[in-house]
Amino acid sequence: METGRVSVTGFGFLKERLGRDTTVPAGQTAAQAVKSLHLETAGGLPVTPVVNGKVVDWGYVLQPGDRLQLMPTLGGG
Amino acid sequence: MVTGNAEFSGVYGKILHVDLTTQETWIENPPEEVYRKLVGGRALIAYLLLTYLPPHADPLGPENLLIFAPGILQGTNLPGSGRHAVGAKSPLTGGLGSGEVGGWWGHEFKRTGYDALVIHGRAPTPVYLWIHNQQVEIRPAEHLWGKETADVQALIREELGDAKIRVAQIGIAGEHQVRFAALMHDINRAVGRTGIGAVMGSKNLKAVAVRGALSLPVAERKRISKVAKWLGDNYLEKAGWAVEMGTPMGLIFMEQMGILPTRNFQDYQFPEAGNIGGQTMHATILIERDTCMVCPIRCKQVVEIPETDGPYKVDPVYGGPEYETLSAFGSNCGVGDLSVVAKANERCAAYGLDTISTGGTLAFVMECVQRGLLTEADTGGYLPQWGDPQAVLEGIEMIATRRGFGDQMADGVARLAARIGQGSDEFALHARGLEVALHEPRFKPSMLIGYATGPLGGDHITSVQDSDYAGPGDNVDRVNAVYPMPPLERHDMSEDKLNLVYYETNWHHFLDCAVMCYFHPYRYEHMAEVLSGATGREYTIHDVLAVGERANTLSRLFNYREGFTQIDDRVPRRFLKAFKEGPIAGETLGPEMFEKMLRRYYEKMGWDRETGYPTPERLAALGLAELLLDIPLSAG
Ligand code: SF4
Repeated sequence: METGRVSVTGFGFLKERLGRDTTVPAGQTAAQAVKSLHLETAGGLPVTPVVNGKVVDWGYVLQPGDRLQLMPTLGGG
Repeated sequence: MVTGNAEFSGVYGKILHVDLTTQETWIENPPEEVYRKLVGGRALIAYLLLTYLPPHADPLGPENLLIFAPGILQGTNLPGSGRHAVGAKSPLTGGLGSGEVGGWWGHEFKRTGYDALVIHGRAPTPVYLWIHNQQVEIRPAEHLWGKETADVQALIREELGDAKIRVAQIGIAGEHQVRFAALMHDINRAVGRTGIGAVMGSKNLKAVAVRGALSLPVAERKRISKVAKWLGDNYLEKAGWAVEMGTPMGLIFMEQMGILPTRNFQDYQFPEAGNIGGQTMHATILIERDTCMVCPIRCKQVVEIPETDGPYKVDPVYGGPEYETLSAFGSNCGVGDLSVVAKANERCAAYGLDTISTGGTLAFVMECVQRGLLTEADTGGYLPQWGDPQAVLEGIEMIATRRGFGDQMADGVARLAARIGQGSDEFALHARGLEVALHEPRFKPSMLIGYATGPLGGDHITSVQDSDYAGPGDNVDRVNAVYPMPPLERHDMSEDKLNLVYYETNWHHFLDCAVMCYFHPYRYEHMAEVLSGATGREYTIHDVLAVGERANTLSRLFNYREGFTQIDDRVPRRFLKAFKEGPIAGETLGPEMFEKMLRRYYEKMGWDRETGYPTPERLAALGLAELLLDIPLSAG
C-alpha cells in the first residue's frame, strides 16, 4: 500500500462492489471516505466503520496505514 | 362502513367477540374515530384491553382477553401488509402483551369480514374456533391437545375438508401455560413475545382456523397501487440484504464488530460464529426461501437436515432460524453447531415457544451453573454447561412440558432469579420481565430507552437502534421529512438524538398498528398516502406518527393501570457497564446518562417527568381523552 493511504475492505454486499486492494487517502473522515466510494449502505443495510479492529465513529480521521473495514449492520427484525 | 356523509373504507366496521364460557358471539360496531385514530394492531389491542378488561385481572384467568387485530392495510394487497397483531395482558410481564406476525393467517381472517377478533372466557374442555366468512363455530379439540403444530394444522384441514384453511394455534407449551409460549401461525410464524400462547392455553383454546372470501373495500385503489409500484421499483436496491440472505446475514459481522451476544452477554465475540452464521446456513442446510402474503422480498429461511446427516434431523415444514434464534441458541448459549441451533428452532416451532425468551432463560441458567448458584438438588440434576447441545435441546423440552426444573424455567428469568437469589438478578437480562433480544445495547445505547419505556419491556422491535442512523441512508432521510438532522453518531445523546428517538419510536409503533413489515423501506409519506387511499380520509405524515404515539401512550396507560410505575422503567445493570476490552471497549450509556435520557424522553412524549404518566394535555392533544372517558388523569 502506498504511504499516506488507508486500505478499505467491505463485507457482504460491499465486498463485490469494492473489489480487492482498494485504498483511499488518509486525512479524511471515515464518512468522507465512504461517501467518495459511494458505499453508504450494503444492499439497504446501514454500515459501521471499523478501523484496525476497533469500532470507530464516522467522524474518525483516517491515519496513514489504517485498515478500514465496512461492516453491514443489522437493526431490528 | 357508512359513517356520516361518506364511507370510511379499509374496514368492515365489525369486531367479532366470542365468549368461550357462555359460547355466545356478538358483533361490535366501533365508531369511525376508533379506526381513524388507532388504525389497528397494538393501538386497538391496548384500547380494547383498557375498555373491556377489568383492572388487575389474572392474565391466566378467564377474564383476560385474547385479541387478534390486523390493521387497516391488511387486505389492501400492499406489499408488506400481510401481517397482523395479537395481544392480551401478558402472563410474563403483567403488562401489555402483544406481537406481530406475517404469513397468511391475517389476510385470510380479514377476508372473513371482521376487523378484529376478541376472545373472552374459558372453555370447560379443549376447543378450537372455525371462522368462515360470517360464521363462527366452536368445535371440540381434545383430539388435537398434546399434538405438535404441524400435525394439528394437517388434522384441522383434513377435518374441515379444505387445504387452504389458515391456522393459528398453540403448541404443548401453550397448553402447559409456559409464560413465554408463542402463538404459531402457518406452523412456522410466531407471535413469540410476552406469552400470548399461554393466555390461549389458559382458555382451553387450541386453534383458530379461518377461511374467507370477501374483498376489502378501499376508497382509492390507485393511491395504494402507486406506492406498491414504488416498492416494486425499489426493493432490490433498498432491501437487497433481505432478498439476498435476510436476518442471518448480520451474525458474522456482529461477531467481527465485537457486538455478538455471547454467553448471556458476558462476552462480545464468539470464535465459532462462522459455523452458525447465515453464510454457512445458506451454503449447507438452506433448501428454499419463504415469504408472506403479497411480499416480493421473500426474506424467510427454510432449512432441512435429513436423518442421514447426523443426529439432528430437521423438518423443513417448520421453516428455519432467523438471526435472533441463531444468536439465542447459538452464541448466547455458547453453541457453535448450526444443526443444533436449527433443531432448537424446529422444536420451538413444534412446541410453540418464543425462541428469544427460551434461549435467554437457558443462557441465564447456564450462567447460574457457571457461578455455582445451582446444585443438582435444586434442579433435579439439570446443570447445563455453555455449548452443551443436549442441554439446550433437553432444556427446550423440559420448558415446553414444564417437566422437572422446566416448571421453574417456564416462568422466565425474572421469576427464576427471584427464586434463586444469591445476586442472580444482576445477570437476569430482562426489562419489565421480558427477556431482552439479541442486540448489544452497549453498542446501540438508545435501545435502553426503548427497553425501559416500551410497552413490552425487553423488545428490540420498537426500540431505536442507533447504528441505523449513524451513517447516511434511507433511515436518516425518512426522519428528515419531519425533522432535519444529519446522521448522528451511535453514542450521540444530543437533542437531535432525542428527537430521532421520539419520531422513530412512534414510527415503529405505527408500523405495529398498520400492521406493516419493518423490512419494507417505506417512508412516512408512503404510509400517509396508502392510509388515505384505503380509508377515504386524508392522513398527513404527522397523522401517521400520531397513530404510533397513541399506541405507545395507550400501552403506557394500560401498564400503569395494571400496577407498573416509574420505578419499573429499568434495564439490566450489565448493559450500563462497558466492556474493558474488545472492539467496543469503554462504550456504554452509563447509569447517569440513562436516567437523564429517560426523563428527557418522558418530556418529549408528554409524560410527567417525575411519574412517567401521560399528562392530561398530551392525552387531549392526541385525541385520546374522548376515546377513553374513564382513564385516570394521574399516576396515583
Ligand atoms: S420481508 Fe420477510 S417478514 Fe417481511 S413480509 Fe416479506 S417475507 Fe414477510
